[in-house]
Amino acid sequence: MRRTFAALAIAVIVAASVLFTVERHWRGRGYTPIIVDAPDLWSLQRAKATSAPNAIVFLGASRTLYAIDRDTVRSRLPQYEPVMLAMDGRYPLATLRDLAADANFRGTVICDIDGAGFAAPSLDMQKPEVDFYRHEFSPSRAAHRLMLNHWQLDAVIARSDFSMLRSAVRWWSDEGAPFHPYQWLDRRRFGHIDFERGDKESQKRELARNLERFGGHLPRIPFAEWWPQVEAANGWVRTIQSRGGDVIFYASPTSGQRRWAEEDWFPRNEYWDRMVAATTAKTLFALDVPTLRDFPLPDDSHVDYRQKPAYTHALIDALIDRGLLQSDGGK
Amino acid sequence: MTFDSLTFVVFFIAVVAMFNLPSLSWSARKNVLLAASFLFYGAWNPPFLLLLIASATVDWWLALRMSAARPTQRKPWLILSLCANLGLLGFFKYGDFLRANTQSLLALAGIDWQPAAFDILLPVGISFYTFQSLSYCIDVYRGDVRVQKSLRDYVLFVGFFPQLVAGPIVRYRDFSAQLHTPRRTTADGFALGLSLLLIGLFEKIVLADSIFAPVADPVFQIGATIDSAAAWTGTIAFAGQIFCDFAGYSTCAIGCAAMLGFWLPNNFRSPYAATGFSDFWRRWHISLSTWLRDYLYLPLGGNRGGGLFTMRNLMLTMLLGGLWHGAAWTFVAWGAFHGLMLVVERLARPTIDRASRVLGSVGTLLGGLITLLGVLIAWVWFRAPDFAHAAQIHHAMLLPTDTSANLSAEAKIALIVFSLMWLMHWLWRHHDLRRWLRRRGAVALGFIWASLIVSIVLSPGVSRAFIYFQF
Repeated sequence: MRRTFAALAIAVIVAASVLFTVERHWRGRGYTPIIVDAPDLWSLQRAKATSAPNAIVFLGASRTLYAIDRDTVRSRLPQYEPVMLAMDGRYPLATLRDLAADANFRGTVICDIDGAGFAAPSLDMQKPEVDFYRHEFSPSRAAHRLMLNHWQLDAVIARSDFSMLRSAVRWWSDEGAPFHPYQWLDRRRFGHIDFERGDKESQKRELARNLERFGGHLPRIPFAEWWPQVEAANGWVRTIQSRGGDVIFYASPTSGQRRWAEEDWFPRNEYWDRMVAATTAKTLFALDVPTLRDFPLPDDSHVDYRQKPAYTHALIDALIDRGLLQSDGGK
Repeated sequence: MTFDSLTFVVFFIAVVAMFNLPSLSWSARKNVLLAASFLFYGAWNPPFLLLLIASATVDWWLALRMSAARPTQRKPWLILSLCANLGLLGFFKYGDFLRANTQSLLALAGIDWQPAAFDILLPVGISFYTFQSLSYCIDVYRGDVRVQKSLRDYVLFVGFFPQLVAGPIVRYRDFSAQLHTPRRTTADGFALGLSLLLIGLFEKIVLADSIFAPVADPVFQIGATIDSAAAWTGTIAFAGQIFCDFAGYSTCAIGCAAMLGFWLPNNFRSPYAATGFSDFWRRWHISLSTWLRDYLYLPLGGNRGGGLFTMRNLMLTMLLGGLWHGAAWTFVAWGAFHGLMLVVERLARPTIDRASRVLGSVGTLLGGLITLLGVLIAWVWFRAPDFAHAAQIHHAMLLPTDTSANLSAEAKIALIVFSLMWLMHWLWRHHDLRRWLRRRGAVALGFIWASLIVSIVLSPGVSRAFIYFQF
């Protein structure tokens, strides 16, 4: 008995001291705890989309993930439960398909998508998370993730960049210190970008490089290859609507060279307008709304976290003004 | 629920506390374990808990009927049990495989058959608990064990949560006495169990998931570009991953059981230090290899019918052993390769013995390295998504190609860790981990636990499902 208790005491003291020292080391270098996005975190929200009958689900990629302010949605649309299912860098059609296939989903979907989002290579971008939710997510994983959220919010060392292996790799490869992230999520997956800390010019430069690579014009996707995904999406929209749910396709704003590139890549009259004519979903093109069209986007694409409430107000105003959403509790 | 989740930490603390409540009788403590096992399994997919209970109940009832019948009239009950267990396994695990192969065969005959895909979700641990339950029925049929009259105790034997989903496959004769003798958590059992649990978690989280998997996975992805260096590092990393993943699970299971006062058999004994394929199967997944020996190889005749007969039995056993791991021909190829190696080893036994006598310990080391090479080559079939990919990796391994890219730091670390692991296996070939841990003093134990905890906490990353859950 004495041996076991002594060993336990030694283990707890030594392990706690080492971990505390490592934590202090990284905090001393300016790192702070963050939530790390993962399939089980996404699945928690995906489960909420089904269980909450009044869910308003935000689909899309980084532009929506980092732009929607949850508190603003709650205050402006108190009848809805906001659910964030957008994913950084990945278009949302696979998730829309999954919501359509879910007989229990009856919520409202705001699906942020542009011309490229309907292209065939974009179709299954979010499928790995959907598959995880369908086949691997379980009550046990949900409980694990809820506890892990607390650990990640409290400890810098919960981030894989500070793992023993990554530290060894950095040392071996003579890499510098871990990246200081300027974008982060909260535990409900609503994201934030702080452009005062980040390099807002890097995305602009990346787009310029791409344009240069393709001789100033991104390669067009033929309409015939693009349209089948629109037809499939329209089928999913009808399925959701038949259960009492609703879908709004929303093309979020861009500015500067990015706006020019997107219009050049998928001219509105050739793509978006033809989709609008064919779909039963409601639609909103942000560039048609002055407050959204002129909204400040530091990297021509994303909203700074300080501007999120204003952006969300502008979006909700536009949706209500056009009768796409109602603010009084009805849809 | 998996051992490497925070859910399990909370669950297990609660179970240990409730199990040791002083006011509880032995029967009540068994109820606690049964409820905990149901919760543990149901936390994955609640409907499959009903399947587990139904499967165990059917076997319990069939065994009762069997024991009540005269020895000459037992066979029908055994056949029913075999049909129930293998039917369950066949439906859930091999249904799609059979459908796809029938479709291919019919296509060869010019018949176009387009059945709907089954799209069946595989219940976690079904291969383990059906084999465990099947062995009980066969033992009752043979008269090797006394029938269990308590349904609660029988379901607890099948569903005891530490070993439920990925083994070790426990024999009823090893567990029945533990069901009858009251048990509690003891200080020594707790210390041993915690040591094993932490070692198992270290193997899984630090070695398998953090170090080996990120190097192995890209090589085995469809469409991967594979040169010789990538093929070897990927295969070696997978060898490390599958051992640490599976042995890690078994070690956690044995540790959890020990903390509750139960004993489970060893499932691994330094397998990469094996000096021959027969030796490998005495060290790798011991509970499955002994199961296959006792319930398949020996009933087929074992080595009693002469050389050719023995070789047939070896091949059949290993082919079915391969198929047990998964419904794919790549697993059958993996089993066939091991069967072939066992046959070759058997044929070459006199030469091997002579060489061992002449070469001494150098010969033993040489035998170990040749076995390791063979095991590595076989892992390619086990992990590859199809034969074409396996052939591509084998080609790159055996016919060196230009290696233009330098190895990444991650790959170098994986190779170093695998080398150290192999060295540990070699040095520990004849040692027993449990005995070694029992002899450690408080200070040594405390520092071992602290090192393991720190390593585990400082290895956050992608949590991967235990590989053997899919089997």
